[in-house]
Amino acid sequence: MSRKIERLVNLTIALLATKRYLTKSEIFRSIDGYEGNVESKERMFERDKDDLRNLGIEIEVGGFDPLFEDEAGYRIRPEHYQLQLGEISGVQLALLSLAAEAWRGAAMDVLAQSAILKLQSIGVQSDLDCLPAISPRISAGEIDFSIIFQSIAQRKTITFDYLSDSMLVQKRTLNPYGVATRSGHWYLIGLDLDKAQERTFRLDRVRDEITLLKKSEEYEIPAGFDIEKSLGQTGAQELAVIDVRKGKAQILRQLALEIADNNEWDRLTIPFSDLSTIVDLILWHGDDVFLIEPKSIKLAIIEALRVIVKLHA
Amino acid sequence: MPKPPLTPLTRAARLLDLVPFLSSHQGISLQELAKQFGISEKEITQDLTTLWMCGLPGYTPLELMDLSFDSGFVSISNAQTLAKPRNLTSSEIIALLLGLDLVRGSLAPDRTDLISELDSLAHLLSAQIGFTVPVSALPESNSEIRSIIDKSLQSNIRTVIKYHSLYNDEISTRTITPVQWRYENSHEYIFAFCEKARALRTFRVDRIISATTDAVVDKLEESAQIKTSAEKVFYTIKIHGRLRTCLERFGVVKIIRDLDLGKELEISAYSPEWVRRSVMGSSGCVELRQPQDLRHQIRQRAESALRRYEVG
Repeated sequence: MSRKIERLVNLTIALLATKRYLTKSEIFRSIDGYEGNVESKERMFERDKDDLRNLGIEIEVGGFDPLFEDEAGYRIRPEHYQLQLGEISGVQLALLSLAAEAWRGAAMDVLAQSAILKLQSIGVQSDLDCLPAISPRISAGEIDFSIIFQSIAQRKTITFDYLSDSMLVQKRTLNPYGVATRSGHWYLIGLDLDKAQERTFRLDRVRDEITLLKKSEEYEIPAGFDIEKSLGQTGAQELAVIDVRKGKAQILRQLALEIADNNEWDRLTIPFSDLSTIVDLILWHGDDVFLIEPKSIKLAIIEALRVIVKLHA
Repeated sequence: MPKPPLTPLTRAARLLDLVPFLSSHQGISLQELAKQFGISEKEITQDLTTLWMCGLPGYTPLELMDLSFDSGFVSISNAQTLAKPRNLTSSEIIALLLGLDLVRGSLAPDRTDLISELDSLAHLLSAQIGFTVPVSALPESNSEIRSIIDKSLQSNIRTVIKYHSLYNDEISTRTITPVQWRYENSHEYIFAFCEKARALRTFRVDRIISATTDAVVDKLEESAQIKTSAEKVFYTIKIHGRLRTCLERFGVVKIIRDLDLGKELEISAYSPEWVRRSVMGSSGCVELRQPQDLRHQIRQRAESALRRYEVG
């Protein structure tokens, strides 16, 4: 195993250091580790090239030598290999480190670790003192984002099985536009190719693996796409007025735009867009919460309560 | 978190990152280096030994990288070709962009200085990919509270928290000594010794309303005893509609694969109050079949609520 590792590192060094393209025969002659007959050397080299490309290292092919017509040359351009963030300040480096640290413990821990190491190798002292004492954390659990990130970066179509509201597993084909997280849930937004419409998917409702669609053409993210707008509930938001007992209904209080004192109660004004969600929330709180208006919610509450009574008769 | 299997490729990648790291941290101790790379000292020594064999074609001492690490401190020279860190991969960039957005949401709005730094960083990273990647991350829990708890965990000191218990919708003040961060179902928890319960308890971090390491504890609140019933309640439900929503609410969506609408489900919970609330909060899509006393209580609650609404 260590021979292969050495060879990969040596190949990288040689291709980076060269000012001109190196031909395969030069590579086999000069770089340590290419052994055996020509075919096995070729096989080794092909695999090594793929491996390095999988690490995101760009190997340029070109520079056909006029004397050896059919032999291609290879090199890695330092400007493509090296981190190019320009002049970075200590404050910026501290912010980037905080951003990477947020992924600690998640399935993407290894990714975060390698990003941190690269950033720390820039040679700039991270200026943590200027930051407030915060340590934000991304709740990503076991979600593996590698395919998702790859598809977004390369704008490649993906397919996956998705759990519908009635628990049916449906095949979905999506051109992902963006990814977002809200209260522990992850959302993938994109163009649903079957529905020909923009749709939002919750990643914990994806069953099994997400796969990149082979032979998919690079798509464009529409210029007007606004992820915040897509995440916000569609349609006009309505307001509900709700009385909640003092010291109770923390969840509703967090949603309130306005809290007014009303003796033993507080009167909350809450925005809502989905009727069943707000009805669920009100009923969950039992007699600590009482809806004042609008009538649409009141009717839905009465209807739901009648069903509950009937079901539990 | 399980580490991915170590392939020659992942190790080669680590070696490529080791060189610029050493070049910018000359004389670092072997112990610290291992810690930074999240591996053992034995593994890092193996890596260094392998690196020793690498360099420019020719591979005489003139071309090989020069490493010294026998006294427990590591230095590198003759490694100019690899001295600059590798470019970030597009996945790393997207992860960083999400992280930066999260940091932005964690900052007080008056830190416009840092917010403009975040903007320019996002711009810089997007330029590497070639377009602006739409990402958005809101912190699940308050980042300052998280930071206070993390500090108290690191230095083993007590923290006073105000905690919202969802089961009975109550806020209590508790003195805790954090033991460990835990992650489950995409949520973050702090496992801690709770003085009120005189036992180890798990707290969901996004339900901690405030935290302080001040030693002053409100004695009145402290003396109030919390009811802790660790006894499991077994119950049976039948779902009549909005299947996915209801299964998610009762936390059983993961274990059910093929379920017909109307099938009975046996579930357990630690709080009967949570069961009552969850059935009520399913607006008639969930029927509690067993046990009978809970079923009766739910009916009474629904009837009394109905009376209030029908009067008004």
